Amino acid sequence: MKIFLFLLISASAWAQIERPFMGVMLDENGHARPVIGAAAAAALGDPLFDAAVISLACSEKMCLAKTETAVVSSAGETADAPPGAALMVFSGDAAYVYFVETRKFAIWFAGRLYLFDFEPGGDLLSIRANGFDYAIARDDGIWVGNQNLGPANAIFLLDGGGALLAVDGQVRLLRPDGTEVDFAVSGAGGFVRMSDRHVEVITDSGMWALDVEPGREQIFLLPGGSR
Amino acid sequence: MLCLLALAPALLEAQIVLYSLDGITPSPLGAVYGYGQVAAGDTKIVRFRALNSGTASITITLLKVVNNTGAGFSIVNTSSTPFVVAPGNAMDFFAGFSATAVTSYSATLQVGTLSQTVSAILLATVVPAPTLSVAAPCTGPDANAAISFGRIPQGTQESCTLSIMNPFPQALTVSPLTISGAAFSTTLGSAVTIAAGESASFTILFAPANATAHSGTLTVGPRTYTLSGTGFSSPLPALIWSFDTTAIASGEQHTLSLQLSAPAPVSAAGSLTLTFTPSTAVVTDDTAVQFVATSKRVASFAVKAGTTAITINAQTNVVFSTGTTAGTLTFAVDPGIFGLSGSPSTTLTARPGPIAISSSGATSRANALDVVVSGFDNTYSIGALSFAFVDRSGGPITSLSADFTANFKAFYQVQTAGSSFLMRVSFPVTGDASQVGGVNVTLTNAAGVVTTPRLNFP
Repeated sequence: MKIFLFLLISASAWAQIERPFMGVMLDENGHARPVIGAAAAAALGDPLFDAAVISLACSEKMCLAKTETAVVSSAGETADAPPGAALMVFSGDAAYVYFVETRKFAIWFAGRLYLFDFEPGGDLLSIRANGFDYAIARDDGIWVGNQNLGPANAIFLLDGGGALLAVDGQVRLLRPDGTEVDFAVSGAGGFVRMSDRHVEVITDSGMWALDVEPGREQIFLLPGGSR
Repeated sequence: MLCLLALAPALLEAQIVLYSLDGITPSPLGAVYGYGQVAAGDTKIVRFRALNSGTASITITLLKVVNNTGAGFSIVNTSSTPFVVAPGNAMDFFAGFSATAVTSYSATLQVGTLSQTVSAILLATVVPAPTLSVAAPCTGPDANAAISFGRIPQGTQESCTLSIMNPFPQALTVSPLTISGAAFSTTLGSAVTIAAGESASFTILFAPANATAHSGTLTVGPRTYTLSGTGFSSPLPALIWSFDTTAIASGEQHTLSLQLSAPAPVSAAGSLTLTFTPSTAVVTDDTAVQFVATSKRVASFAVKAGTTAITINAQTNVVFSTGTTAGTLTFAVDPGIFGLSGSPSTTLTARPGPIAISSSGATSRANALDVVVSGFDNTYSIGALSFAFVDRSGGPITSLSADFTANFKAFYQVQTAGSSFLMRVSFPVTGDASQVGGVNVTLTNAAGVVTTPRLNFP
């Protein structure tokens, strides 16, 4: 009762209602397309970029895409870049970008790329901005720091720790506490960061979205024209 | 004067060349064209062509037939004159013949311009013709002289009895009697003589070797009839619909696979269609109900002869979304010409359910508390909400009700892809908002009530 002497919550609340936005997927034609609606019943919006892109990563605020010759942002910024695919991960308003073919490392900030020397000691497969972890491929498996996760077709380091591994017809969600959740997805060959909560799983037969939020893990097929 | 001299060479080169056409193939027309024997009372129409073989346009001003013997020939269904024909172009026209008196007929066909007229003699002979009748299961002959054998399974045969009647008071020899078409056969000879007022019967066998449309011709004296029939394969055995589950709900993806209850008699293909009927009147469709990988509601299917497994879009199964609207999903197979035993369709129902919450959260500002809830309401009846605020120690502060029915109604009016929503609710606060520790949101729709877990304010 005491609290009401100092606090009044107005009953005249107001509501804003819109379609839920789940993230941005890379479709089979190389277009970055917003995914809107409910899980397992999503719809696709128009492509964010005019041109097809090679690599894509999105946060809640923005998307970065790698075309053959540039890194472009959903805000309309463009910076010339080395050819080929790129690994991209956000860190606040900046992003780490690793150019796979040329093995160049850069930081994207305010529409510009700042190149740095970086020797990961193997083929770099994924980057995590938080603490700057990275996964590299070696002959005996995929290593993250001093931990060998074993062989896998692809790996994606999750923001809050943990990782996704594509192994043996499954996508394995490894949590920092050592628990894991397996999803039966055959042919997984890559991952795209759709948003803070969803990761796209790229397979030969279709594109899937994996909800990685603890307690709400689920995977569903994304709309498309892949079959 | 100069103009006339300039035009003179072109005028001299302009000339009309006549052709007759059998179908689309033109043949140069000689001095005489024979219509042949025409059955009494029948009409035979021949297509002719007047080609401008010169290098300048001509204007056809004369087009007529002058009957010399009897009155059987006439120009029919033809453009009127004058008719301008560019160099290398042509004017097509039709000349018909019909008469009832059994005798010979002749006429002169004339086609001309102001400076040139070409002509040809047309000849025809009217002969007595027998009457042809067809017994069931065949039908015809109709106004187009077509006789149909209908549809029968491939590899089987069907015979029809036909009768030729001589309606005349003297014996009639009907010749030629011929049949064409690989699927049609008869024991009929090449000619038959029928006594006055009598009939002669014969059979035609239709034996389609494959599943397709077949055609042929039957010539009975001066008349020619079209024979047609269709062979079809035995219908595909009944479908076995296999879903990963038939207990579906909104906001889900499921798989469908199909097989036949027995091996397919032939290799077949067709389409699989998904349709959706909402159980609410608020919307007429939910476009998220679809085959997911293609974002379409139609898929192709195929089955190989001797097998039962059906591929859908070349895969062993197809994934579909139930959308976020309560209603009935209908799956229907269209086997096309192959036919299908049993029902071609089946249905699944996504029943109305309480609001499904996919995410929720709470944040606070200096003078406001914000609550965000995302989910879907497959009944489209969401509106009544209540918010139970608690303090930092979990003790109740207050419970507020709000009715956003009008907001959701306006929102859903423009939605076609389901009932998913993201709702941001703001509560103005007077005082220290940081004292509020959390909130439980209760959402009500026509199917029930659901409450979020405790949403803690940071």
